Amino acid sequence: MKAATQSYATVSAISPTRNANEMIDSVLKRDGASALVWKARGTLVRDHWRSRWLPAVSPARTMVQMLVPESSANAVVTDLVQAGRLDLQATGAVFSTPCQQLLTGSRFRLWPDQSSGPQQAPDAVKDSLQIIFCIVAHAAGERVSKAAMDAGAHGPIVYYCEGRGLRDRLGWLRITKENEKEVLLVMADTADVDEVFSAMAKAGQLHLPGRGFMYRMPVTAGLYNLPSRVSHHHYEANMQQVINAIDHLAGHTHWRDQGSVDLGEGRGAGIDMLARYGAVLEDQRAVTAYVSRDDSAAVMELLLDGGAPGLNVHHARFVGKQQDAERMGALVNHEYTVLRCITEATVAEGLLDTLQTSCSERGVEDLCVVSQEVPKVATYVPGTRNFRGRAA
Amino acid sequence: MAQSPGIGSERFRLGFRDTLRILAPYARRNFMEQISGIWFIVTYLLLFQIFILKLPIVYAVMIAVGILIVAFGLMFFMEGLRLGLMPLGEVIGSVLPRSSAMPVILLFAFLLGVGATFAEPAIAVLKAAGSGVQAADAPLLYSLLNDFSGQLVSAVGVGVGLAVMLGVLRFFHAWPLKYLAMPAVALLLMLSLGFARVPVLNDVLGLAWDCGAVTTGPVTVPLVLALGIGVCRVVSSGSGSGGHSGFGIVTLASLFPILAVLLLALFHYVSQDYYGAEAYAGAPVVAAANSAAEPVPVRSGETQVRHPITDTEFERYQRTGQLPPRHEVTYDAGAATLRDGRIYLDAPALIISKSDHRPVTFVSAERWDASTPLVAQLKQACVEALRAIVPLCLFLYFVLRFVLRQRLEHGQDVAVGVAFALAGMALFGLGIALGLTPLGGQLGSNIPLAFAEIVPWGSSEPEAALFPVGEWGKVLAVIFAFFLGYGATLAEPALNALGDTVERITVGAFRKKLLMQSVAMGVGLGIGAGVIKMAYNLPLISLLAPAYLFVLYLTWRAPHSFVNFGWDSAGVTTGPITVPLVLAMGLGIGANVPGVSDGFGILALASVGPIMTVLAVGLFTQRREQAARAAEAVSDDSDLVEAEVTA
Repeated sequence: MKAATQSYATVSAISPTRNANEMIDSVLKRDGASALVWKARGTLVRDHWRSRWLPAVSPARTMVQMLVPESSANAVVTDLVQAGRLDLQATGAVFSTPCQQLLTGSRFRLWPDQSSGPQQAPDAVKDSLQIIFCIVAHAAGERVSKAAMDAGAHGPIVYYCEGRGLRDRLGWLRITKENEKEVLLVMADTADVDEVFSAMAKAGQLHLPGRGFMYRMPVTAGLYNLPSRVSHHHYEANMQQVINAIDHLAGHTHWRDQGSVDLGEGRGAGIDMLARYGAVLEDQRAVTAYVSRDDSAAVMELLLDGGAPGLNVHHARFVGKQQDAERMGALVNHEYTVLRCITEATVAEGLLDTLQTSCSERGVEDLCVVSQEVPKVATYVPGTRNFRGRAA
Repeated sequence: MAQSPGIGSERFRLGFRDTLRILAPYARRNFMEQISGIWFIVTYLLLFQIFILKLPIVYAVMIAVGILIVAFGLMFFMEGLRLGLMPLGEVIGSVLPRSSAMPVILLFAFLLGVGATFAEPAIAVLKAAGSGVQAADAPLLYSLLNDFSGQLVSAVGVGVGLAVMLGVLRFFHAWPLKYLAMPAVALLLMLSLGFARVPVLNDVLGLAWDCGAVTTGPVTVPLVLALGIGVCRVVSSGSGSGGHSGFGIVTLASLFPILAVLLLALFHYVSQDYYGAEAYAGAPVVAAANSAAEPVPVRSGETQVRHPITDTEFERYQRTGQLPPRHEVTYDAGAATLRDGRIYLDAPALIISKSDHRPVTFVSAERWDASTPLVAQLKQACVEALRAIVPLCLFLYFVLRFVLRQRLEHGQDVAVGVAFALAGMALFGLGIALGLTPLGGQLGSNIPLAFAEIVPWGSSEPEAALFPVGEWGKVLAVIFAFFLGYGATLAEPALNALGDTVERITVGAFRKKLLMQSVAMGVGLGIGAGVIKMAYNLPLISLLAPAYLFVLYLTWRAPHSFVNFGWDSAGVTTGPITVPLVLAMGLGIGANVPGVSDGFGILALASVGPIMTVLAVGLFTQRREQAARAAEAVSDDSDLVEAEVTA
């Protein structure tokens, strides 16, 4: 494995499934481009009494993620915004997060550097956003979503992941683990993000052991147009008509930006509740490994043995230009596994070193490892709160 | 795949207490999940028997124990599906398309379908439903169930095999399920309408349509679903609104057997070798007495006293003047004459008789059926579990290991899962025999009490009908049937597995609860319709044909994903919990309605219902989405305006 010579960023986009194909096509026009695709859903909280009995069908969403050279990240974001028409109301979101380090195996197809296209993202794309990832059990997902929306965020985008690590070390007792957890994605303005973050942490009771994990990352270029609350089935259409009417009158969509007051250094006008919140870690790293699914078990083992506290794992379909093999008239997918762990900076360095040395030995070449900055994490930390004795 | 020594070489060492601490919440969570599935049907049956039919529960302790065992069995079985059977199916489904040629894949699919049919034989159920069939009344039906039962199972097996094959082929070509299911149903309907015109063939219709409902059992469905999901994970269908969700095999597997059985019947009709026909080879059978169809002792309520006062009671009365408790006094006035403007009663008689009111007891004195051979039943349950799970799993493992030459990634987990599934299935079978069958049997055979005088189950004296005249009794029976279907469906393991899968595949967008509720409603409606069919002895086709025509319309209109879920849930609904309950009821009602000899048709109707309800829910949500899309179209316009302004 070798380190990349220039800096990369991950660009992710969320859109309704019917727009996703256009977005993917717009990305694949570039040379050597590829992307990972997986399923997600939007959140729809209806306040009807009957929705408790017959729950609403949430809108299906598709999530697309790609590793892009930082120089062309803005161009890709622009393409995605245009292809997915993300500047329209209730369509989707796009965000790019910078990578600090990137290692690739010899068989991994990384995007080549190409500084073509516009360097400037469209006006609607902001550079002052943060993305929150919250991993909780199914039962808590709805509660956390509601809390985020009450704190002013959009309805979270949800996808499933598998939590690995802790229970895998229990021998036969590993059968007791719940299969899947929900990953909730919420984007918020840097000025508002602390409030949303702490509201979600509280709702998920993340300071208690075993409840979940939450972290956030800075977004260099992002845009979201996701619906939030629907109280009545006429409301959605009406609200959009009102918004569109104002668009007509104003001749632009800038008025839609929420007017948060940025007080500098990422502090907004509001109370910073997180300051009084206990179980928060700062200055962590996210180590993400994109591995061909067949090799995922080996890499998972390396990461866990290398000191990763736990992993969240999900699978994604690989799309590229000539990468899909045709078989009997149908395309045969190539699947990747995305393994991510959040840990301290020193441990993250160690993990990268371990992978760099061991993967080639084991013949795992179709992988790419990325480390990213994580300014804030909320989870149960032994020894800080609600714990009988200090951890040794 | 490289063999991995297992994740985390540093294992945590756990003491006994810590092990318990981890296991207890796990077991509790799973147990409560099952309880939440079965509490409704159990409570409902108990309350109905005690408070509406006002009959005591016979074998109460045995039933309670049995239901507890059912809950435990389901707990293990569902975990077994999650850990063992479904991963096995999914792995094979995802490896197969990458490493095998098409003929191999199709052969595998065919064998899997045939094997599944033989592993979970529906023939026992069908024989039970047709236990009242007399050779003289319905010769072809009788022959199919008895002389040609081997052929019947084979026909169903081949039907399921072809269905699984076509289902897998469909994934490769991304054919939408709509365009497979709709012509198939149209063909079936046309054949059935043709059959309905020939009396001998008409008898077979109920059997054929029920075959479709019965074939897919709690082991087959999750396995086939997982296989489909595995295949679809690997085979991408491009833009694919059609095939690529992994559903649809179950649908085809419940349509094709109907066709197979109809064709088999047609073959025997043409070759004239069924009972009573020219070329009949079997020995003519003397009509055997049938317990279910045993004629109810008919009494004329006028002349016969229901509860006579015995001689001893009379003697005591003469001695002490003490009347038996709960008596009533009537008087028979004899002839009345009008004389001089007054009514004169000559020789009036006072009649003292025991009153008809039964004491309300909740639990009958018989707590346990001593004649139940506990050991034999346990053995039978074990044998059935082994037969349903082991050959299929061995076949899959064999294919994986020696044909595909792959190792199982989580081999130990899968082994634990298969063991769980086995234990769960065995316990489940035992619990059903001890608990649900006696309870359902009691209610099923007691429910005609609503409109006819019968001898209640486990009792020796006949009881009067609750509604001796009019249609109210039948209405009550239909309402009972609706909730019976509703409750039993919520407890069905295969449907629970389907619900979990749907929720997982749609990333929680389509909740399990929504699917379960709409399917349960549909089954309830279907079973209610089935009771109407039996109570009024309507021809099956007159209910099936309009229902399926409506379903065809809904299928044409509904979004693709709902077509997949709706049709698949139809095949899943009739499983080990619903079938005994519904059959007991069907036979009970059939025995009290003149002219009804078999319990066929209810299950077929029970599988149309859920298609209707799920598709209706689909149409409902689609309408909402269209409203949202319309709003988006408005924003498109505004975009244009914006472009003009900037230009």
